[in-house]
Amino acid sequence: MLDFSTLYELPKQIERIFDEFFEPLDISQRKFAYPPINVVEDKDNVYVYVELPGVNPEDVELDISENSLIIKGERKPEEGKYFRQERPTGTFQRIINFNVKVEKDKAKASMKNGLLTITIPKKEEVKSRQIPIET
Amino acid sequence: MSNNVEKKQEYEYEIVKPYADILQKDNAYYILVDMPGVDKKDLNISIDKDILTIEGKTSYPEFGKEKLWEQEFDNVKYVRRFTLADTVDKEKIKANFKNGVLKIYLPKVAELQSKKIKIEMEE
Repeated sequence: MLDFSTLYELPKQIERIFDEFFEPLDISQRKFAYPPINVVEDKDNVYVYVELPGVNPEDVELDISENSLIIKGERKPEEGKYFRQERPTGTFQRIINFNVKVEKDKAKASMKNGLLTITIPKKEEVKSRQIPIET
Repeated sequence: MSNNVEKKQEYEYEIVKPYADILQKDNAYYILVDMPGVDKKDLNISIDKDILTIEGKTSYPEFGKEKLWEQEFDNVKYVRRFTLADTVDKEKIKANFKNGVLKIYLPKVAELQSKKIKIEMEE
């Protein structure tokens, strides 16, 4: 009796290339628009943080006006035959409206490890200051 | 007498699964993982038998300290595991990390070429 069962299994095994083993929690914030953004304000500046891994500065465009900041660009996919695609690709655009007056010409941006940080100084007149108590 | 006990708050990062793409190009597989905010020194890739584990911890500034207008992401610990099939040449796996994207190169085992068996005719 010849056992051909291992031969029949072979194509299935070759297709089953990768398997997920453990399943940690899904990123809960993924329900939001892409890319994810944090906006923080301190005494002097407004900071906009954007998670944009795999994107070079030349693939992002930042347009700032008195009232808003537009972040737009494109995430291009790698070439190849995909077995699984989860990473978002394509064009994206996010708009942030300012609640305070900002110095748009003094805004600066930098990128590190896929985090884009935009620092926008607030206009002097809107900066809060401490009132000294005279005795 | 008040006992001012100062407890250091250990901020536990949420463990999440990073987005990953799996593709094949030429004679190799590639896994691309989005892990923004992770420094190379906080990134760990290990392989145990046929299980490949990727771990990374982000090092963002603490977002809650100032006035928050909007928060859609935070510091997390990325963990993801893959079971590799025998078609992967585990000795030759390479990885590089740039702009928050981990790119793993997994070449296919070389001798996976089908051989033709010549049938000799005997008279």
